[in-house]
Amino acid sequence: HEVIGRCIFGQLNKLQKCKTIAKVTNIQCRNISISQRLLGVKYFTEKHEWVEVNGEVGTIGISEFAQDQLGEVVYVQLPEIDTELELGQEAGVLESVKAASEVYSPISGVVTEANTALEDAPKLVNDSCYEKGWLYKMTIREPSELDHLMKEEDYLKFIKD
Amino acid sequence: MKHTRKMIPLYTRLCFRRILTTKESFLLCNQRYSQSLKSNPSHQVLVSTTDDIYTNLALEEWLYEKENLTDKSILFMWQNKPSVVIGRHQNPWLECNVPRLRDCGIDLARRISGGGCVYHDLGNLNCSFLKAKPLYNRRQNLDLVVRAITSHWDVDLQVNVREDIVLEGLYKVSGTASKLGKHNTFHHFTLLHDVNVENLEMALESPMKMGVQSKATESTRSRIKNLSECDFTIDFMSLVDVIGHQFYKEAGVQGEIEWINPKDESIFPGVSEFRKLAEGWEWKFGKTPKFSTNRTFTSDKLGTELSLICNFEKGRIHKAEIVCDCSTTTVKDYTDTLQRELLGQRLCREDLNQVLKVHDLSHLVRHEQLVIEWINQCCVQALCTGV
Repeated sequence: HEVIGRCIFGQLNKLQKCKTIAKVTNIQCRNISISQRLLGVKYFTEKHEWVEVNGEVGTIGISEFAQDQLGEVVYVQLPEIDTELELGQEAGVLESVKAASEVYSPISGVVTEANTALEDAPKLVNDSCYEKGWLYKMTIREPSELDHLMKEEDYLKFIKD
Repeated sequence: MKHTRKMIPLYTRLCFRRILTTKESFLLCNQRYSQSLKSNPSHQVLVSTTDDIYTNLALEEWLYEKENLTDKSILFMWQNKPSVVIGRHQNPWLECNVPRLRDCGIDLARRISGGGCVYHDLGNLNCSFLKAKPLYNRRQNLDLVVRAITSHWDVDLQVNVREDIVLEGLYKVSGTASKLGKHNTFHHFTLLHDVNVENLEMALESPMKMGVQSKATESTRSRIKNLSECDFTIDFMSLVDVIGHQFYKEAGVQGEIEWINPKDESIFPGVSEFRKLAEGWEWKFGKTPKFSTNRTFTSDKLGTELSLICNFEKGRIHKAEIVCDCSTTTVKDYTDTLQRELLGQRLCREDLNQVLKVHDLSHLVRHEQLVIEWINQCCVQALCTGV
């Protein structure tokens, strides 16, 4: 019994040590990832969507260029809460007088919130596309997906071309 | 061309119009279409051999989702037997007479593009220009069609600021809508050449106009006129011919108008899945944006008033509040039960029939019987499904 006890105790000790190491490593990793993803920074796609990172939640909207191309938005169809979206998957539709345009998810994750203010005031997408006209919020399943998106300066260069 | 048409005697003109029947064209061209898909031509004109709205919309969606349009542009034309087509975010109960359509066997469909509600019958031509995103240009498509028609017939046709095709500066002969995706787009529109105006007006008259609050997109009504009223030789076959050839001409290519069967899975694999979805209740009615109805009914004869408030989500009753000022317990119990049973029911005859059926009221006093029957009738009227 003593032998078994000592063995188990030894294993538990090892486990304890491993846990501590893991904790330290984890913290270090998390620190690194926060410094790379500055809070409130917007990342843009070639399809003119943006995602703003705040902690573990991304807010999605469309750019000034996109809202101008669309014309006056008359209806916004948003994804439902808890919908799982893949990068590039159709997330919703913006209907303007000109057309029904699909909105594609810039990253993968799960929808946590939809901007219900757009039900009564779809024109917010035109008037305040970076603030009040946000479309939906989602979790960020793969932070590395943000690496493939453009920062604002690069996006502005992209649309000039 | 214009003068030649006028000089040819009427009888001969009628003969020329029917040189190739639909079936013959289809048999000739079906094989050519599947071959041409492999050789990847730059422009194609396809015409559907079916007049079923769900089948035609399914093929249009299939072409939009599946075709590689980077080096190809398609003009797809079709006609439908009587149908009503609503835009992606519209409310069918507010845009048309849903129970009447059902009783008359008129199909109801919801597009994937935006825009308003339209009535189709065999006197309407549908044109859909499918192009890659960089080539999307609605005005160009509409101008092409106006040029095609005005170069063959003496008709005063123009495109207005709303991008409608207008006849004689007054009458709308076309309604336009489009869909923009990642790489592909389509712009489609109707063209009225010989539509039954009486049926159109009946179909688009909604009985659910009072007391409704809705977030859905609304239609803009306009005065209409048929192109055939200007020249009776304007019909489906001649329009297809003229517009199709103009499409090739302006692209600077030679081409044939190809008749295709939109149900052919060997050419369009998976198209039947699109059709199944298009025909389903969930798509047609379940995609309706939230709306609510608030109605008050008064019966002087019975000395009662009824208030009915219903909230609808996804085509279902999300909340029902039925309040009658008749103070008897029986009536109160009846309205409470009705409220409970209506919750979650689809706004359709099958579901509501179960709830709003006439019960055996013989055990009640006469006044209560009449009040309950009246409450039932008011609900049927407010919900407008023709129960």
